[in-house]
Amino acid sequence: MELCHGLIISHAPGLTAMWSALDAAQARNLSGALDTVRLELEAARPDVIVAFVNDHFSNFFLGNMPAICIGVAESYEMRAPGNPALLRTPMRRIPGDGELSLRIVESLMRENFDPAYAGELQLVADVGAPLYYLMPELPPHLTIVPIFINCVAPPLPTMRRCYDLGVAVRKALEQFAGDRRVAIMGTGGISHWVGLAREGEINSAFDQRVIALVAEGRFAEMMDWDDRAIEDEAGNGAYELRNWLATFGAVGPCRPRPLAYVAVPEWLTGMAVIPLDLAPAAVPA
Amino acid sequence: MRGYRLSKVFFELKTLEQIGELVADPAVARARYGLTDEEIVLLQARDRTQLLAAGVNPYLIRLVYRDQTTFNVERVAP
Repeated sequence: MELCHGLIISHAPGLTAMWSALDAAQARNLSGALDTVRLELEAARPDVIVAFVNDHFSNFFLGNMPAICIGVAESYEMRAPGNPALLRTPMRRIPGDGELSLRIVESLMRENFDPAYAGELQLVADVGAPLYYLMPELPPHLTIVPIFINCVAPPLPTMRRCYDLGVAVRKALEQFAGDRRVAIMGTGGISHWVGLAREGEINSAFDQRVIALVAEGRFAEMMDWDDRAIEDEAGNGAYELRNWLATFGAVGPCRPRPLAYVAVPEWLTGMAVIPLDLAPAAVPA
Repeated sequence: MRGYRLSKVFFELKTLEQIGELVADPAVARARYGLTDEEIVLLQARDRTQLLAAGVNPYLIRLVYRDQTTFNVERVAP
């Protein structure tokens, strides 16, 4: 495996549908960051994207809610959810790598993780919205391995467990990804209250604190954060920081480079774009 | 599981209109989802705060009330 890119990016349906909610400075900031990452991803030429994401009741319900679920499909729809006006993106289909996904599942089982796997999954705002800008044209050889972490229906896997999951996924990739170039991305966060009385609030101070922690390489401090405290301070949407921790686990040593932060109440969330510059040893010559 | 039946109604029907049609006939609501009389009253009242308190998952509240949010998503930035 050749790790070629690492990225953390917030997701929101508004990202592709409601730019009128941004003021000019916010739009410049976010748009510039998306363009930068798009060019970096082009240059990185990934063969596989491993995406740590979470469902929002598009795929899973409380009737059968996996803590961790790995997509093993040959392809995935990146679709608009129920309300087509919400995302305003064209329907796209992205190939999966079912074989690699199954190898990852097997490897995780050996590492004492017990993930569910799914032969059909829809990728919605979690992947579809960021990739709409980051990969307007999907390279023909590109595949995706989506790894869903339950961030919406407590009880949730612990923050630390999600970091460990990322480490175990990295180990599996090193064993089974062959000579493929792998980009690892985690989406979600930062502060937002979804469906709760405080919906539409954003705690920018919390968001800036998270970004500073990440930039200083101190993300591990988040592993001990308590969910009740997270929800009080940053809303139930901040549970999605699990995807960030899994990403850090999988990427390994890196220099996070916060490119943009915008707080957009209409999108319900504080949006961050943070490429993870790879440690020199991991950067191909 | 607290709020399970209500959450299932939200997950499957997805709009207030569909939910309203379901609980317009309590006998149908009871037969299809096993809803209690208290749950049917809650769904008829459409009060999202009470539904949340009854255990409906907040993401499902958001899904169903998306078009009824109190802020204007079309607001143009200053």
